[in-house]
Formats: sequence, C-alpha cells, structure tokens
Amino acid sequence: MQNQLPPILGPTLEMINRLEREGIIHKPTIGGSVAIMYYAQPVKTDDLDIFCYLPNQTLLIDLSPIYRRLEELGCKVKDLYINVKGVDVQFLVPANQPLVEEALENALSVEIENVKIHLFQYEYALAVKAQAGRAKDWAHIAVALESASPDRVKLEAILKEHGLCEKWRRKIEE
Amino acid sequence: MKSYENVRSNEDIYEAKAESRRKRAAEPFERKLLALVRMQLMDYSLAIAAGRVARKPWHFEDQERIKKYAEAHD
Repeated sequence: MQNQLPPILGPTLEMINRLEREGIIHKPTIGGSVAIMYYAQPVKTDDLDIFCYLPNQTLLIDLSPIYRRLEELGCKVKDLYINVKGVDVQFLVPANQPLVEEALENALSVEIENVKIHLFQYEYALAVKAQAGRAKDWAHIAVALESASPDRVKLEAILKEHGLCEKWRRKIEE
Repeated sequence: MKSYENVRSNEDIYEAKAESRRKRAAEPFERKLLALVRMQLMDYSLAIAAGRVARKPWHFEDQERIKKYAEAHD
C-alpha cells in the first residue's frame, strides 16, 4: 500500500543519492531539524538540511557543481535553497568543523519512504544544533528533549569533546 | 491517556501534554513528515493572511500528493 503512495521525501532523497552516484557529493546525510524530528516530535522547519562531503574539497567551499547539476535536472534555485522534487533543500559541507565531520562519520543508514539515506544520530543532531546556538536552535532542542530522551552518556561525551558542556547546561539544564 | 474528566490540577494537564508529546515522538517518521507539512501550510496561511511574505510549504504545487499521503497515514 505504502509503495503506491505519493511520498513526501522519497523522490527528493533519490535525487540526492543520484548526485552521490555521479560523484558530485559524498555521503549525503540528513541533519538539522528533520534529523531531530526522526527521533522526536515534529516541529516546523522550512528546509531539509543535507550535510555531505565534496570531492577534492579545499578550505573554500564551492557548492556550484551541486546547484548546477540539480538545475540541469529541473530543480529550481531559491536563494541558498534549491527545491528538489517539491522539498526545499539546503546543502551543508563541513568546513573545519570537527563536530559536523564526526556526526557525518557516525551517521546511521536508514530507509525513508523506501529510499536508503544516512541520518545523524540523535545525540549528534542535538550537539550540532547546540553548536549553531541560535535562539530557534535552543528552542528546538528543548522541545525535542521533552519528547524523546537521548543517550545521556553518549551526548555528554560529544558535548565534552567539542567544548559545549557549559553552554548546554546554561541553556537547557538551568 | 487522561481525559478532561479526571483533570484536577494544572499539573495533570502538563503531565498529559508531556505524555502526548512522547507519543507523537514515537510515531512513524511518515506521520511526522505529514505533521511538518501541515505546520508549514498553517504557517504559510497565517503569514499570507497577515500580509507577510512566507516560504511556500513543501509540495505546494502538488497538494493532491499531501492529500493522498494524509489519507494513508492519518
């Protein structure tokens, strides 16, 4: 039954996986609010954050090969976002960001609407959001923690490793 | 799940809300995706009604898709 349904994310993820098969990106991984939503209650977000590596990446990030190819495939660019099969996608590449790189390395492989894709572990998704540290990030973390408990030991270790413990305690636990 | 009939304090309400959030979190991801698109739709409608510019919800050009999706997952 579900196979015949019009999916929400499936065609978008298939297109993203196609970019990986063509060698334009490596290890596309769902992060951001959608990753947190996989584990916790949904909250409103406008875009799907896809973290990935670029081949031959230097310190300067160049996302244009991704956007160019997706435009060739009929997707429409809207500012920094690109609408891929009905879903606004934001591509993010780790640039000297050890936490994001670690989150990518430790990503899980999941299946969403019959499409295989990588996904941040809950604890990494929370830590990456904490590192971003905008008011809306902390609000989302608070809402997520109310509905789904992370592995405390794992989360503490990640926060400690990346110098986020104090910030976390100040914002969440006080 | 508590019903309104056995609510005796605000604490009862907060507890019931927390329980409902945990239940929501444990739902299949597909149902949560549907909830997200509905939130985007609501946000968009409110913004337009208030005369603001807003980002269009996912699959805005193909709302039939969301309708069918909702029929299957609701």
